[in-house]
Amino acid sequence: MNKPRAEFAATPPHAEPPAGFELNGRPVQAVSPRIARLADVLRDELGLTGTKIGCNAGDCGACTVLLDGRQVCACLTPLGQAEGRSVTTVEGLARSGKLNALQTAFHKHGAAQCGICTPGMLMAAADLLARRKRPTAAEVRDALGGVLCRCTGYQKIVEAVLDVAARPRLDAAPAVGAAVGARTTKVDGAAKLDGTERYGADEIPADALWLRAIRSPHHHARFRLGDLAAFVARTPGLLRVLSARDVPSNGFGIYPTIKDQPVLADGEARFRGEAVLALVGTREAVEAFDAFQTEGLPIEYTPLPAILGLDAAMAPDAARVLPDKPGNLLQDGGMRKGDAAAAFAQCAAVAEGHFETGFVEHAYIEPEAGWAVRRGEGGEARLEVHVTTQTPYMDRDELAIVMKLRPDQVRIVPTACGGGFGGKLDMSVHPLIGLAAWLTGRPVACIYTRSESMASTTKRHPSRVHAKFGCDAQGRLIACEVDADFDTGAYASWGPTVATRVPIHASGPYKVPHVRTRGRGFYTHCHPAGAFRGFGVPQGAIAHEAMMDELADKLGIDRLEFRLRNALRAGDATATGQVLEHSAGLGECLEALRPRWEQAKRDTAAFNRGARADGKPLRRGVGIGCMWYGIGNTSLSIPPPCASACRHAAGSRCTTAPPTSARVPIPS
Amino acid sequence: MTQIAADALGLPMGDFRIVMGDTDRTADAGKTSASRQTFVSGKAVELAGLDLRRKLFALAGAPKNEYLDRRYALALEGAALVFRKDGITHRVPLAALPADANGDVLLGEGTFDPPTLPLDEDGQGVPYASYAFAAQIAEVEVDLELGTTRVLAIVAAHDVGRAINPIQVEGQIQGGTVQGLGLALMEEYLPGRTENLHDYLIPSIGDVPQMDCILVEDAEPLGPYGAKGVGEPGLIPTAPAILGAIENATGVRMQRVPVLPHRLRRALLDK
Repeated sequence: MNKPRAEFAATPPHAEPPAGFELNGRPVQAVSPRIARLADVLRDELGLTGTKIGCNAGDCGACTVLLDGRQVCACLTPLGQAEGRSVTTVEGLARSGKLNALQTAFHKHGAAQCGICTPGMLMAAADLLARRKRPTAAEVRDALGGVLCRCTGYQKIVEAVLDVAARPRLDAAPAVGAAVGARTTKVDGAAKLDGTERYGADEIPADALWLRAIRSPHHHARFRLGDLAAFVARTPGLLRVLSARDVPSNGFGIYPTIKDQPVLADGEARFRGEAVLALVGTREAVEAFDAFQTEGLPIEYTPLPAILGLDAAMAPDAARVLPDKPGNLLQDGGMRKGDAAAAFAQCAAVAEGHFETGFVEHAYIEPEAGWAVRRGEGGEARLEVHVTTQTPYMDRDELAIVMKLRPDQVRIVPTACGGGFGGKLDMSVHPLIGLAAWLTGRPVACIYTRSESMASTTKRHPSRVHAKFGCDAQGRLIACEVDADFDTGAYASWGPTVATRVPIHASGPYKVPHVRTRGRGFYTHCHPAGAFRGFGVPQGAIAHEAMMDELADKLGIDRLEFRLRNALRAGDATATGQVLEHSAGLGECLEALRPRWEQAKRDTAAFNRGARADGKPLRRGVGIGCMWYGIGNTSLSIPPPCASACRHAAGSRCTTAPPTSARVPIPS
Repeated sequence: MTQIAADALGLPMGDFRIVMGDTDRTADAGKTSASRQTFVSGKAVELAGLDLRRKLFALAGAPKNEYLDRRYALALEGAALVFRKDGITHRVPLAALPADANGDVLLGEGTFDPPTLPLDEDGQGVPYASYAFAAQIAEVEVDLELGTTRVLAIVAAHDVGRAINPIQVEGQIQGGTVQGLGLALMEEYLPGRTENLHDYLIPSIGDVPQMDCILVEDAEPLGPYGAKGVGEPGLIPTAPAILGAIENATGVRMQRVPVLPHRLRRALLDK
């Protein structure tokens, strides 16, 4: 069970009598102050961690519980409001130890993916189903509208709730030899439905110290630290303050040769949200400070001009974000096949366009969280980190570098991951809690607040893509040129991967004989841009698909038909000269869509005729998009200018795809 | 992974227990990214399952390639593994085997590293062993006066090689598609201004259209049972399809995402 939070300790338990209420059918007494958030009381005092906290602001709905049968956000409900009433949490659904009909429906339909929003979804649905045995889809969407899900796209959740009235049953397990291809339930699905799954914040030891990072409120600032020891001495409950000088090797990063991001900034903060100090102490002591607080802390900032956006980064006289990166350039690479510039002369139609995208946040519903502990002493000492992550072995090796330990001295125990989408490939809490646990010899825990998570962790790269495509009179692509620039923020993270993947994929899933593409990444004073579902390829696809539409329109060819004529097929060569031997099914995808495409064209045209006739301001349209995507790590993630680094790093985890091992043991 | 292991070894899924990732207990399978786990780890699991099957048959004294004969029915009966075919029964008593430090008596192992070639100075080479392909169509409704866009329907056709579990494949496609919808119409992170989930809007249940998935299975011989990856592809074609649909509805090609109402309204006025 987690340790009670600040509010509980602030008021002695005897100041007011315990609050009594009914929890999942049984009477309970809670000693927390009546102003405490019900979500915290449930998790920290009463030990029911099935109720999740995603934002503490009533935005995400992950903490939804039933209060007298009606859904409420437990993070916005003070304990006092529950007094004398009944509270139902996800732990109260499967009362006989078996999943109830609603949970069974979720299991059957695959309505829980990462599972972090699932308790909230289940409670919101339980509220609805208690009042409406057979709700409509619109009623389901209304009732569940306050709970956000980032994994499923919601459709399977709606289908599951609609199926409850039919008393769903799980299908029998697939027969031997027929498992592959079967619509069977997730093997780890039940724990995501009954509240027993353990995420980063769910199994923190009761004796853990807590850590809160203090973060720069400025995009760019110099800062000077005051007397940290005096600050610790005058702050009750505070045990230690960590700064850059405490970090054994103060640089980490995805690439073996680019360790440019400090664990704690050293005198200069390069983005708003960068950690500058780490407070370690009791939970109430460290959580009394806001991550962006400046007053009352031994730190003095001098704000400096910030480089924000690609124009500022690329300006000829731009200051450098990192001292060793002239022109703020992270990377410049590309592909060349044939002679694209010359080939445009033969084209019957040419399309050209410029496209821009901004930062996009992963918005996983589970904020970064975990705890660390040092095990053993002396040369045998090891660091054990329990953390929500997408990449335990990379975390292990990165932590070993930061802590100057051998990799085998670090153990990463991944908790369940409440959504990642690439955002949990970079380290977050890991080095902070690892360092604090190592130095104090005590377990140390940290849970990012939502705003801390959003301000400090990676984003999708903002992009500017200039594309030019040309084809012959029959609509066959001849040439393409694409130049893509990306804002990688203050540190490299996965920027090189993005700047490499995009040129490889920039010609789209089409056969184009003449290709020239380029991808560049630039540093700015923003949070690092890193990995996010697609590694820049989604930004590039916006450009190449607009070009397909324009060329098709110029030649009077149907947009689907145009793509079909150019689709890469087995036997064709890609932009990198790779001949695809198998499994290039874009043509089949397009053929499968054709009836729906023709129907949609007819439907929208009829709707628009009606809307025009009626003078309505509504217009409908239908569009098509295609993609291709290389599965797995890029064979060479660093472009030719860094070839020596690549050779140096050949065989490393990052630049080549790691072999993957699996063991299927039979227990004795 | 369990579905792949079950078919490779030849036992029911219920006979398997998953050991969750832990750097002290499980091998390095790389990261969960780049749509690679089904393709890369899945293949390793298939090979590990086959390896274990081969070792079991060898223990039973079966001829060398007998383990490839899928007519054998395998079953765990107590602490023994039993093979049956045409009235022939082999029995391997597992309890009698010496256990290793982890308590395992027999280990199947598999390793898979997708064959790729480095890119040369012109970016020519084999960067990936396999590619996912997809096409999606989007139907939208634009309010010309308000500049708002509603996505009415998405049809997503994805070549996944082989759908190991179609429910989960559809879930990945639908979830990715909705993130693509967010990219196209809603999501723009502004440092210092959208650091919470009420200023930074992600699609909620009411923003989501009907999504129909069409799974195309053009098998990839390198992958486990022909599978490729599907984690990222769901997202990629969605924004292009929505932008094309907005252009089809209004005649305006939006060049900046997200297409927030004020941007579309401005573009309509400038048309």
